[in-house]
Amino acid sequence: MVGGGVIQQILRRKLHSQSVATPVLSWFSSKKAHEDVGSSGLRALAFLGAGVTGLLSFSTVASADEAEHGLECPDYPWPHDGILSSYDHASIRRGHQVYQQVCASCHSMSLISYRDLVGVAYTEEEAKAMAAEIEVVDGPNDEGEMFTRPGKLSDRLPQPYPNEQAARFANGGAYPPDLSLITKARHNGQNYVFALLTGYREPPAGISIREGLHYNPYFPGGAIAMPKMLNDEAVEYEDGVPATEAQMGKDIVSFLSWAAEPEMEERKLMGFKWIFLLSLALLQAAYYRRLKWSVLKSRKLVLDVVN
Amino acid sequence: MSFAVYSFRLTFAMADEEVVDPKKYLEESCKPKCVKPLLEYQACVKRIQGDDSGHKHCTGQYFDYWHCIDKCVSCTKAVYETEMKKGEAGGDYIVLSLLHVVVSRDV
Repeated sequence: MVGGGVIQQILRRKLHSQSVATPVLSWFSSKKAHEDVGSSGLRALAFLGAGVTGLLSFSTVASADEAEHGLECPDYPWPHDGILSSYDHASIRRGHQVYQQVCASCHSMSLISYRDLVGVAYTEEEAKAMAAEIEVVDGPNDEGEMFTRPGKLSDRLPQPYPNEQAARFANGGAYPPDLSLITKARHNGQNYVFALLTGYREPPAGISIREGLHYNPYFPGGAIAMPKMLNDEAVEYEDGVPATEAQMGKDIVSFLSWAAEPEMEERKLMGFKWIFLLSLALLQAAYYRRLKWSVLKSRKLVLDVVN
Repeated sequence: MSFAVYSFRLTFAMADEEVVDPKKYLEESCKPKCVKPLLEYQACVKRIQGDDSGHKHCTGQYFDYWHCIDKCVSCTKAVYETEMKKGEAGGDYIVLSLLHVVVSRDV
């Protein structure tokens, strides 16, 4: 489609070289008068056809592109955004509660273990108690049988479906993605997830979504299989914070950001320290280099002309 | 202007709790700033009302309007307050009240 536009440009330049500022349509009619142009005229006509169709198709594609890419999500001021800002750990704890009660029925988080939560959102006792609530299938015993046991800290968070096919079957063909790395796996992930979860709206006039899908402007294409999950007071927070839709969205994104980048706090500390130290080292190295080179940079060369 | 909206929202909440979703509240209060794209969208809706072919839609104008609202909401100083919201945890209350002073000047 872009090629069609380019060809149109080339054609216009050709027209300008032949005659001054001839509009395309009048060229069309003048072509009939100039039959002697011959094969080059036919080629130009072919270019014209390609250009016009290119332009026309480009205009329809442009309007489809908007829904294709989804509405651009805004940038929210996350508390962990600054170069020395840590996560809001109370928010991570609430976010994990939201995940457990709202999201875990469909979305797995198979890369997170219960032990990862210790010291981040829960104490060791709390995490152990949480792990003990689930049943885990464990390796063959001495009799060669698989058995189930209560969970331990070392176990991963439980998966709602045994495999992708079961997940698709239970969700009308759509696979609820694993959320362990979702904020890194989507462009502008943190803002995207928040905008998506809180952005369920009525579709624009003229758009109809089929049965089984829901309209979300932030989702590429606009039709998402997940229904609106965050509703005011869907969850009752342990710490008493009012569970509005925006609050739950913020907490779940804090939790998912931590899950995808648990090393973020240590990374920022390390980065700040080493950038500072290396800047000092740079200043020292620059001084030392100039000191050593000063001998050569300050020499004088005299050209003695031989008479 | 915003007080009317605030009390409207409260009627949907339970009697003993006053839960107002901050994002919806901010979106409502940002509507006056985005009147132009809203009017464009409404004009588009009117234009395609008679259409039966099913190919005409107002996604462009819809996106322009919601992009304007989103930008306004994410830039509002009040967003900083709601991001810092905490319950009886207590620790952040001092910071919260300082921010509240800033907010009351702007909103």
